Order: sequence, then structure tokens, then C-alpha cells
Amino acid sequence: MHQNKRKAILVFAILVAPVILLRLATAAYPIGQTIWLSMTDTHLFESEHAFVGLDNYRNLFADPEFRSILGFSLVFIVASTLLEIFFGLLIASLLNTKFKGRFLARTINLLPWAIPTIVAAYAFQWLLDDQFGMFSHWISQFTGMRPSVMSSALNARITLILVNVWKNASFMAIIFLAGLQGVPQELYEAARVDGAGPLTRFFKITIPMLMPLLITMGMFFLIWQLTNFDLVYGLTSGGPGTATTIVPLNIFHEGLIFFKFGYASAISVILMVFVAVLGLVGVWQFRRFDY
Amino acid sequence: MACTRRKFMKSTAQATFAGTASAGFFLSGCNKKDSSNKVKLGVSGFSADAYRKLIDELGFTDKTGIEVEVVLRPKTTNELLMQMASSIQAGTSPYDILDFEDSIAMSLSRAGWLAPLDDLISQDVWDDFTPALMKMTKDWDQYKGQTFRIHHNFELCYWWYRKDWFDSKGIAVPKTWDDVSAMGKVFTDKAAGIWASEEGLIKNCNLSVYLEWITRQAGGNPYQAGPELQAALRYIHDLMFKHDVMNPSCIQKNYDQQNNDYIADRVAFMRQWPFFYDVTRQHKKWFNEDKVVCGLPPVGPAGAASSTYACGWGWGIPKTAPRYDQACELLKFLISVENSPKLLKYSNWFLNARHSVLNAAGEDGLVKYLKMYLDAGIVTTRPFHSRRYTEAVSKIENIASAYLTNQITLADAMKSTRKKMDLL
Repeated sequence: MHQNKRKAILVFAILVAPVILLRLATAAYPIGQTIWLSMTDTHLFESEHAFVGLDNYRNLFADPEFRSILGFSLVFIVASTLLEIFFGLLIASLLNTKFKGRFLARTINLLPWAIPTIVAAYAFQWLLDDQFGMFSHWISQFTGMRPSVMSSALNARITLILVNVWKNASFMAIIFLAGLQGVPQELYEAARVDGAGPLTRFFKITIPMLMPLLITMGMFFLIWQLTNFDLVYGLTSGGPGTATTIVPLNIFHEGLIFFKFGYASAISVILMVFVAVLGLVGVWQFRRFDY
Repeated sequence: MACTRRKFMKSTAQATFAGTASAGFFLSGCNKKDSSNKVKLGVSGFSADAYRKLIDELGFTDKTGIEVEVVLRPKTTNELLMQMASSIQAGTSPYDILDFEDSIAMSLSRAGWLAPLDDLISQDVWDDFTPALMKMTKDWDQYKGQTFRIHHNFELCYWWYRKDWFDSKGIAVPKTWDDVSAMGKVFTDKAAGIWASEEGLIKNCNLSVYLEWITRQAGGNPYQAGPELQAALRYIHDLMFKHDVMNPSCIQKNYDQQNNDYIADRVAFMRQWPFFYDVTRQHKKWFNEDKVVCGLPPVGPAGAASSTYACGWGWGIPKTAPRYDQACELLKFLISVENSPKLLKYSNWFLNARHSVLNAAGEDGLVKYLKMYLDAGIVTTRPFHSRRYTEAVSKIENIASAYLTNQITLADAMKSTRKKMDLL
């Protein structure tokens, strides 16, 4: 019996070891190395590097530019996710109704999501151009004014969020559509018999039934968008000033353009903590609702 | 047939062994050195055809027995920097010889990744350099007493204007900053989307180019964060918001957008690199000589001698180049006094301020403008930050962009710039 147990443990170890080794090499080592680097002043141009403790973190939080980047990153992910959920639900509800050409509408809905983000970013840069942009042209036709969307910090931020929502809401909609199709029709029929109107049915049946999906997708998009890079890089380059710079773009600049590996690692660790906290909130939500 | 535990263990072990063996085989392939004897010359896409042609027609391979492969390097500075950083750290290089710009030169030389070239440059090559090119070489191509790059190209910030518009209004082109400030009333028509001037000022080295240009006209170097930078920032801000000369939305425009606006008859004058000369001539239906005339830039507070600056691209050899010796031969061939003027036949990309090149260039096209600027004595060198140029550019662009979109005051911008530059 004792020998059998040892054998089982050995088999278990042999089978699990490759996966553990893989995760150690691809996750644990890079994370450990990043945390270590974040406490050094490593710069690729310098031959000597020193341990600086928490100096990089202190410098980061003392820098108003970084605080502003962190603040906008939060606004960006929260506003984008809420709007994507809102529009995703709206589109999914529309696509779930019966009408002619529904199949075509569902296909067209996916187009923004299918366009590579960097392509969409450059396309919007032109669409919003104050001289040649399609949007600027329409607005000037109606109002006689040529809006300079990207030259104000607030407008550039709003534009970035809206383009992000346009890009991702369609994917959200398809997931919600699958969820909507899983809601038993009997519930709606019973509610209708009880005199519930469309809004009541939506809030009392649709939303509760979709709640697991809403939380899953909400958490997923919050984390996913925290690592958004290509849209910002292509559309605004983080400008004007640093108004639309988000944390991943900041890491890219500090680490891969300025080669300040120590400083960039400190920002990466902060980003990792952010993602971990969001993940924990997600897990807590799942437990709370007992899904 | 049932799968017993023994069979499962056996097949798993076999699969693991096969996987490990094939991964080893694959990785050993990755580690193989590039055994090709062809020297890899890394160039930008727009100059590749000219390079292939000149290598072929000038008979480098016939004379030396060394074959050359022209390969495309990444278009942007950032991508190239990333590529070079990772490959040099790995002890190799995708290129044996590379054609690269100023900002790359600063980063690669300060990192110690470029081979010294002084032994490859003969005295007759040095004698061929004009004082303007020599000054630029000292500032941009030499570090700690060693030359790490040789310019093949001498690009000035040119000032382009619509002669037909000025003629039809019966006014003279602006000669000073004050004259420029008065141009808003003459040309700007916001409703029609027409502006007296425009620039491509998006971050990523576009804004910094203009800021360096204007700060030079004010008599300083933006990276020193002195009163000249303050004067330059105030001047640009006034052009945008006080005098309605420059379109404020150009803060998020790139060079393509800027050029398009000019070609769409929406801009009366602007600064632009020499490539604009070719861009305008590609629009055959629109183009005529009076629409794209190059004039002397308006003079700033520092006087005419600092009206514009030169910069350029050049060749360097990474220290880790796999075919280092052959790369040296190719470099010597390209920079020789005999071949340098011949390169010009293939592209304006090789127009520079060497005596042999200028003598062979004639008086047509861009050469006319280059000589006009040199004769006028208005060309200075591009300002730079000696230690951390790329980072300094980025920091100063962030601050200037914030100020020019009214996110911060001028006082805050200057305070912030000084602080950031001190930290570099």
C-alpha cells in the first residue's frame, strides 16, 4: 500500500513536472527577474548597475506625469469596459430580435472587431483629420465649424475611448448574444402574462440571467484593456502631451526606447499588481454570486 | 483496445522524448551562424532600389569579390532600436553595415555598439568634407574621439512657400519672425480650412524637429532648457493661438498629413525636409514650379546664421557584424572620393556637402537650394543632447505638446523641462 502511494506520487510528479517547469520558465522567472530589476538602476547603455531598493517606485510616484498616466489608464479601462458592456448589450438585444437580414447584420457587426487594431488606429487618425477627415467634413457641413478633435487633451481622451469602444463592443455583443439565446423563452412568456413590459423584462430577467457573463466579460475586458498598446500608439502616440498615454505605452518608452530596464520594470510591477488586484476582485465576485 | 497505465506511461515518455529531440534540433538550427558570404547592407525601403542599382553598376563585387545583399531595415527609429538592442545583446547583428539616422546614431554610439571607423577613412576623404559637413560630423558622428558613422546625406530643414499666392496678394515673403506673425491676417481662412502655415507636430521626433529648428533660430539648444527654448515655445504658441498663423490641430499631425494639406492648397508656407521636393512632383496634375518654391527661412532673434540646421543619415558598422571585414571594404568603397559623387546619379539620398559631390551635382533640383542655403551662410548643426538624446527628445516633446495644447502654462513647461533634463 505504502509502495503504491509512493509510485502514484512519482507518476504524478513525472506528469506534472513539464507543466510546472514550463510555467516556472515562462512566468515565474520573468516575474521574479522583473521584480529584481525594478530594484536596480539597470540601463542598457551603462556597464554598471546598482541595487537601489525602492527608489524607482519612489521616483515614479513622485512624478506627476506618471500619476497622470496611471489616472488616465484607470479612466480608460473603466470607461471603455462600461461603455462596451452597455453597447454590447444593446447590439446583442437588437441582433436577438427577428428581422430580415439578421444573419447579415450579425456578420457586419463583427467587422470592427476583425479589423487589426493598428490599422483601425491609423484609419481613425485620417478620419479625424481636421482638413480631410470624414467626421470633420460631416460636422463642418452641418455646423460650418472644423473641429480639431485631437488637439485638445479632453477631446483626444474621449476619442480614444470611443474608438476603443467601437472596436470591442461588437465582440462583446456576440458573446452576449450567445448568452441571450440561452435564456429560456418561458421566463419571458410568463412575465408577459403577468403584465411585465419590455423594460421590466429586460431588467428583471435578461440582466440577472446574463449576470455571470457580464461579470466574466467585464473582468476580462478590464484586464485585457489594461494591456492595450497598439490603439494608443497608432492613434495618438500618447499625446497631446501625455494626455492619452497609458501604462503599457509608458513601459514601452522607458524600457524599449530609452532602455531604462530598472525603471521600466518598476512600472511593469505596478501594472502586474493592478492586474492581480483586478483578478482577485473577479474571483471574489464569482464566489459572491456563487456561479 | 483498452489503454493500460503501462501503455499510457510508455507513449507519454516516447512523446516527451520526441518533443525534446525535435526542440533540440530546432534550437540548434537557431544557433547556427549565418554562413552566407554576402555582406548585408541595411537600408530604408525608399532607398533600396537606388542601393541595388549602384552596387550593381559601380562594380563593387567585380572589384572585390564580395557580394552584397541589400536588406530592408525597420522604417521607424524605435523599431530599429529594439531590433538592434536584442541582436547586439545576442552577439550578432542583422546587418553588417547599416544606413541610419541621427537619433539612432546617438543611441547606438552611446551604448558602445558601433565599430570605430577612423582607420577606414583616408585623409583625402576628410579633405573632401566642407566645413559645414565637418562640423556636423564632429557633433553627430564622433564620440569619445572616435568616428562611428559617415554621412552620405546632408539634409537641411527647408522653408517652402506658395509663390503664386504671395504674387497674387502682391506681398513679399516673410523675412523675420515678426513678418511671419503678420501672415495669419493675410492667408488664414479658418472656415475654409486654410492656414498661413502648418507643421507635422505629432510626437515621435516630428515635434522635436520643429522645436529644435525654432530654438536654433532663437539662438539656443532646446535640451539646455534655457531662455531660447522659452522664446521658441512662446513664439509657436502665439503663432497658433494669438496670430492665427499656424493650425493648432497640427500638434497631432504627421508629415503625410502636413504634406497633404499643402498639396490640397490649404497652406501658404511651412518647414519640411527635402523629401517634400519629390513628394510635390509626384502630384503631376497639381504641381507647378510656383506652387513649391524654396526660400530662405524667416530669421529669428539669433540672426540669419542660425536660420536652419543640417542633419542626415550615414553608414556605420555594428561591432557584432557577422561579416565585419567585408563590411569595412564596402564602407571604404562607398565613401571614397571617386565613388561618392557617382552615388548622386542614383538618388538625391546621396546628396551631401562634400566638395566632390557638390562639384558633380550641377545646379538643378534640390542642389540649387542646398547651395543657396550654404552660400547664404545660414546653416548650423542640429542641436542635441549628448548623453541621452532619444529620451531627451521624448521628454521635451511631451512637455511642449502639453503646453501647445494649453494643458500647462509656459512657466510650468519650462520648470518641468529643466527638471527632466537635469535627471538625464
